Amino acid sequence: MNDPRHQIPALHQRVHDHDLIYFDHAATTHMPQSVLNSMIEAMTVQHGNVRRGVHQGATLSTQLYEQSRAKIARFIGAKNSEVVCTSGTTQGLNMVAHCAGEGLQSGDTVLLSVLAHHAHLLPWQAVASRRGLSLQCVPIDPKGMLSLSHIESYLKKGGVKIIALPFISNVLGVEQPIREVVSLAKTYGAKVVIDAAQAAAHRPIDVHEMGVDALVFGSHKMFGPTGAGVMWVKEDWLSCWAPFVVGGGSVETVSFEQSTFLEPPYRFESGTPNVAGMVGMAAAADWILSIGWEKIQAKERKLRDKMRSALMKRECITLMACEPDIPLFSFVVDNVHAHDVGTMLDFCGIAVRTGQHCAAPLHEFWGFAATTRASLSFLNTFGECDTFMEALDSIFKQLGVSQ
Amino acid sequence: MKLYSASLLRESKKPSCAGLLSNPTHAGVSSNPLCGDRIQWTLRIVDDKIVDARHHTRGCALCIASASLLAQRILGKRTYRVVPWVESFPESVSKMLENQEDISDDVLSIFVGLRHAPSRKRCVTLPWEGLSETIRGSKPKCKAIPKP
Repeated sequence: MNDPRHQIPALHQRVHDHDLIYFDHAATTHMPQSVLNSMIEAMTVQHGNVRRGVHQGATLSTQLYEQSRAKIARFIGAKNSEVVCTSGTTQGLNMVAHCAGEGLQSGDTVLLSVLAHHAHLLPWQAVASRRGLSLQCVPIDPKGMLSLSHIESYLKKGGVKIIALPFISNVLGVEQPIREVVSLAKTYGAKVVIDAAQAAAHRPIDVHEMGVDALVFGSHKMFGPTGAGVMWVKEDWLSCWAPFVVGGGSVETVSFEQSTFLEPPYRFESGTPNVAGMVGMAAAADWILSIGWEKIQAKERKLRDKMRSALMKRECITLMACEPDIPLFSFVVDNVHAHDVGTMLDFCGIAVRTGQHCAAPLHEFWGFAATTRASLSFLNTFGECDTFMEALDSIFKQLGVSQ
Repeated sequence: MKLYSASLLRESKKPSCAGLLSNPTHAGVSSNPLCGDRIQWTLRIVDDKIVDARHHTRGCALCIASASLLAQRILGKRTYRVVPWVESFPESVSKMLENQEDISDDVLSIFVGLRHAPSRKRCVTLPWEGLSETIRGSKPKCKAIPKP
């Protein structure tokens, strides 16, 4: 197979007169040509409204859409009927919180963590306020790992109905002990909801093997397009939920007085879906599998080790997590604001993210106002790591920071 | 045209009017929760004249330099002149970003490199956003001002 880098048009561009070095994969990823081609086909040759027409375009479009759902279901080891297409992780997490929250009683507890991305935290805050739920925050240890003992002590107190956690933190890059959490949760009868946005491009996911009850991720962090994603919920739980948004496409019967709704997943997919987006997401899953997890993970381990070693050598740099599981590093530079580091790197053609990465509570927990985050994927090269470090050193020199 | 020019870095490393007044007549805060930047303003306004101004800025180089330049420019000025100037500043920055003409304004000119990084506009305008409101306030907004 060709070098995967060569299959991604967006990686081959000049930024501020430099070749682009893209270290912002945790924010969004670039699409390979095969994904772009699949979407163009969905929007041209096979274009019609899904599940709504008798003409050929509508039929082909419906087939393509359902094939995409099936591919994504296989990508995570799920049944097709458990896979609900969404506009992305944020919508998926809102749906889970809203729909699952309807089944909770005032006083019930939802366990979140200090790692929670705003897309994970805010929907539960809204539901908690509406339904009188108690939200509790699980802390992390210095390595960025969730405290299982805290989770167990909350469970022992009783009343915990849902534990909602990220698979991999978008700020720390640390993989969380999901299987251990699931084991504890099962003992005490709590459900486990996973935000897998950051994991989908780095780890194979098998929802049944993980034993979780719901798992949500988006397409654009796994080399697919923006505006598409998936909410997976275990069949027996999903079938109890009322629809989140109602309208055409989700109904079985409609009269002026009342309506009945279809079985999942269609019950949760009212309105015309983002067909091209889901087709692109499925093509992205195919692309990842065609490269292979073994190759992806082996390359990412090497990139992580090289970056970690280089960053640790600079005394002016403090890493938020020293032992990430993926090549993702959030850091502060002594006496230099993250935005200045980010802009100066941009002038060198290097894209990173700066700020709080939609995780204000985690930054507050560790006392950082803002951090610079370099997030790599297997597409990056060791040479790019060297150029990144050289650029950082030159920035330190310009700003008079002693290394 | 460089954003991080020597003059900007000098201003950010050794900002003028840094600190907080112990006996302000006016005090206020402007902050951007998205990046954590925060500017505390303390002013002494006597007979409509700004006789002293101090800022404590936690932020990036652009934000600190901007607060420093702003504090210097308002000292000794009448508030009725300062407020319209301060309030028009964000629009002046927008205009600077929209066209490529030379900049004559000495405060704006130090930030002309923003044309290469327009997403950083708010870093520059943040100190200005809170100042006019601070001037309009008749009493200090925070009674006990925490030490920097």
